Amino acid sequence: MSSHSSIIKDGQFKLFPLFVGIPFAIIVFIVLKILLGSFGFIPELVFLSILSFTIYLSTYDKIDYIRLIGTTNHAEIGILYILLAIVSVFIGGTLAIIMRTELAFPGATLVDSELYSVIFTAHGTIMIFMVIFPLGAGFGNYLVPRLIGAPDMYWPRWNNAALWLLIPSGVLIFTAQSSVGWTLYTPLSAELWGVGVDMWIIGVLLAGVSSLVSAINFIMTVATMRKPGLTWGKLDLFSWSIVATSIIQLCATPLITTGLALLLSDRILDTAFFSAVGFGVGSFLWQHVFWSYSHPAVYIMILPAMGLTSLMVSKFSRNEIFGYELMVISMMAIVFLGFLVWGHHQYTLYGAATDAFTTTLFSLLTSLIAVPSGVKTFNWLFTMWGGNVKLEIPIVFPFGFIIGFVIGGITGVWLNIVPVDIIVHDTAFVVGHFHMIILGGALTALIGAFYNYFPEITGKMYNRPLAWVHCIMWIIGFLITFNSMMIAGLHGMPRRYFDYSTFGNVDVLAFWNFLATVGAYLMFLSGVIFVINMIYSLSKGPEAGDDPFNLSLDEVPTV
Amino acid sequence: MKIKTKVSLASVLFGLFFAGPVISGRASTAQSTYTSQIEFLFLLVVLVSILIASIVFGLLIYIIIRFREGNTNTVRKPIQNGMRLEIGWIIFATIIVVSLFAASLPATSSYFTERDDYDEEIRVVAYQYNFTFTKENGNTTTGFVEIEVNRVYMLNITSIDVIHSFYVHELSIKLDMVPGRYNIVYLQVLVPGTYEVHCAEYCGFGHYIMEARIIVK
Ligand code: HEM
Ligand SMILES: [Cu+2]
Ligand SMILES: [Cu+2]
Repeated sequence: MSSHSSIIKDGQFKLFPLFVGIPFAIIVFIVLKILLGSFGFIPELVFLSILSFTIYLSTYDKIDYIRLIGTTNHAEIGILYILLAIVSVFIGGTLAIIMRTELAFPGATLVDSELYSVIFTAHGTIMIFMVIFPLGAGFGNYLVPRLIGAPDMYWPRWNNAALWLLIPSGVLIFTAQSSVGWTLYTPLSAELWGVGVDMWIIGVLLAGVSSLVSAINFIMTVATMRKPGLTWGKLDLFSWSIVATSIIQLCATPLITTGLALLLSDRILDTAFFSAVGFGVGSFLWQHVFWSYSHPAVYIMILPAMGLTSLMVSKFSRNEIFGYELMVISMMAIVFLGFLVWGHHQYTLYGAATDAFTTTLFSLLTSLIAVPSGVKTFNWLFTMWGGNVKLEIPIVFPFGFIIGFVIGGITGVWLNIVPVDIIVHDTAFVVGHFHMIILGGALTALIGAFYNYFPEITGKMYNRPLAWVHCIMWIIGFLITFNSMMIAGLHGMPRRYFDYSTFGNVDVLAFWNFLATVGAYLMFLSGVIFVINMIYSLSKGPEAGDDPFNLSLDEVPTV
Repeated sequence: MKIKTKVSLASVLFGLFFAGPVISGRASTAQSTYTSQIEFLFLLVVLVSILIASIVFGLLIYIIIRFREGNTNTVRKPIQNGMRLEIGWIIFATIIVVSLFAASLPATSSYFTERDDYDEEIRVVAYQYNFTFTKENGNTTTGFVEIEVNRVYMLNITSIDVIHSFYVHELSIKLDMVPGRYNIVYLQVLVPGTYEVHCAEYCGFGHYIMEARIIVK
C-alpha cells in the first residue's frame, strides 16, 4: 500500500477520486444538513465517511480511474455497478435507520412528518433503482459474457452509458426531496407544489433509460454471442434469469416511462391525464399504469437473485441443478404471469357494487404465480440432495434467501386472499411482506454472490469469521425486523405513518415497532462489519488462489 | 426419530412466529358482520402456512445436516429421474393456492355485492386531514359518527381532494376514498363500543393525524 504522501508524488491521476469524492461529499452533506437540520451528527458522520473513503481510494494505487470511466470491459462495468450499489445501500440504509428510530417509540422523537415523508420516498427509490437493479445488472455484466463464452457485451459502449446514466439519476432522486412515496398516487403527486416531484420523475426516467438499454444489450448478447455448441437448452440458469429479467425490463419499462412523462406533463403543462377527477378516472388510470410496470418490476428484482442462488447452491453442494427444464419453465411462467397480476395492488379500490369480477380474476391469476415460485424453492432444496454441501458463506446466504423468499412468498399468498388483504393492505404487513422478499430474499442472495466472487475479483480472500458474523446477524436481523413489522400490521399499524401515539393499542404497536428497530440496527451493524471486512481483506487478506473455497481439493469420498 | 424432532422443531418455531400474533391480534368477539368470515380465513391460511413452512424449513435443515461436508455416514446419491417429484409439487402447490382462492370467494362476494336491505345511508367525505359524516337526516359531524348496534348502514364514501382510505381495523373494513367517485361499503356492527378510523392511503404530511371515531351505541 502506498502511504498518504504518495497521493501527490505519483502524479495527478491519483487525485481523481478526490476531485469526484470531495464535491460529492459536500453535496451529500448540504442535502443532509437541510434535511436533518436540527439533528446534528448524521450529516457530519456521512461527510467524514465519504471523505475517508475517497482518500482511501486515492491511495489505492492499482486502479487507473480515468480509464475506468470510459471502460467498455464487461467485468469492470459489472464491478462498478456493484460498487455503486454498495455506496447507495449505505445511503438508503441510513435513511431506513432514521425511519426505524423514529418509529421505535410513539410520538415525534427524531424527525417531523414532512421529513419523514421525504425520507421514505428517497429510501424506497434509492433501494430499488440504485441498489437492487444495479446489483442485478452488475452481476449480469460481470458473469454473463463469461458464462456464455463471449468476449464482451453486444454493445460495449452502450453498456458503459447505461452505467453512468445512473449517476445523474441517483443524484436527482436523492436531492429531489419528493415526498409522495415511490407509488406517486395521483392526484396528490400531480398537484403537490414544488419542484421535488419533477426532479424525482426525471431521475427515475433516466434510470428507466439505463434499464432499457442494458436489457436490450443483455438480450442481444445472450441471443447472438453464445459460444458454438451452447444451445438455449444448455444455457446456465443465471444467464436464463438475466434474459428473463431483460424481457420484463424491455416490455414493462415503456409503461412507466410513458406514465411518468404524462404525469410530468400534468404537473408542468396542466394537462389532465392522471389528475382528472371525474369518477376518479385519472387516479384509476395512474394506478393501473404504475402497477402494470411495478408489479413486473418486483420480478426484475428477484430473478437475478434466483439465478445466482441456482449457481451457488449447485456450486457449493457440488451437484447438478435439480430439474433444470422446470427451473427455466417456471422462470418464464413468472415472466408471463407477472404481467397479468398487477390488479392485486388495488383490492381496496373498488368497493361494493362495482367490480367483483376484476378483483376475483386478479386474485385467481395471482394465486397461480405462487406455483412457479414454490417449484423453484423445492428444486433448490433437492439440488443439495445427495450432494456434498460445503458450508461456506456463499451458500449460507442463499439459505437466508430461501428463508426470506419462503416467508415472503407465503405472506404474499395471505395478501392475495382478498378479504385478508382488505384488512392488511397499506399497513406495515405489506411493507414487511415485500421487504422479506426483496431484502430477505433478493439482497441476501446478492450479498452471497458478492462473497462468492470477491476472491476472484480482488485476488484476496475475505476474513471468514467476520463473514459468518455478518451473515448470522443479517439473517437474524431481517427475520426480527420484518416479522415484527408484519405483526404490527396485523395489529392495525398503517404504513407511511410517522407517529402512532393516538392509536388505542399504542402499547402493542410500540412493542412490535421497537422490536423491528432492534432488528434494523442489527442489520446495519452487520453491514458495517461487511465493509470493514472487505476493506481490510483488500489489503491484508490472504491470497485467494485458484480455488479459494477448496471445493475440489478436500472432496470427501462418497461412502 | 431424530429427523422427526428436527422437523417438528422447525414447524413449532415457524408456527409461533405467525399463529401467536394473529390469534392475539385479531381474535375477539365478532365486531362487524365481516369479522367472523375473516377470522376463519386467517386461521385457515395460517394453518396452511405452518404446514408449508414446516415442510420447506424442515427439509432445508434436514438436507443441510445430512449432506453437509464431513458427514461420513450417509449415502450421497443424487435423485435420478425427478420428473415424478416435480409433477408432484406442481400439483400440490396448485391445489393449495387454488383452494385458498376458492375458500376466500364467499367472503369476497359479501364485501362486493350490492345490497338493498340497508337501514340508513351515511355519506362520508374525506379531505386533508379529516372525515365528515352526513346522515340521512342531514346531521353532519366531523371526526366522529354515532351509529346504532346491529343496524345495517351503507357507507357512501368519497374524497374532495386526494385519495384517502377509510380503515377501521377492528371492524375489518378498508375502502379507498377516491375524489370524484363514490365507493360503497356496508357496515353492521355487532358489539357496542368506540372504534377508531384511520386513513390508510398516504395523502400528505398530515396523513398520520387523520382519524375519526365510530361510536356504536
Ligand atoms: C408468491 C408470490 C407473491 C404473491 C402471491 C404476492 C402478493 C402480493 C400482493 C397481493 C400484494 C399487494 C398487497 C397490498 O398492497 O395490499 C403484494 C405487494 C407487494 N409485493 Fe408481493 N407477492 C408475491 C411475491 C413478491 C415478490 C417475489 C416480490 C419482490 C421481489 C414482491 C414484492 C411486492 C411489493 C414491492 C409489494 C408492495 C408494493 C407497495 O405497495 O409499495 N412480491 N404482493
Ligand atoms: Cu404485485
Ligand atoms: Cu391519509
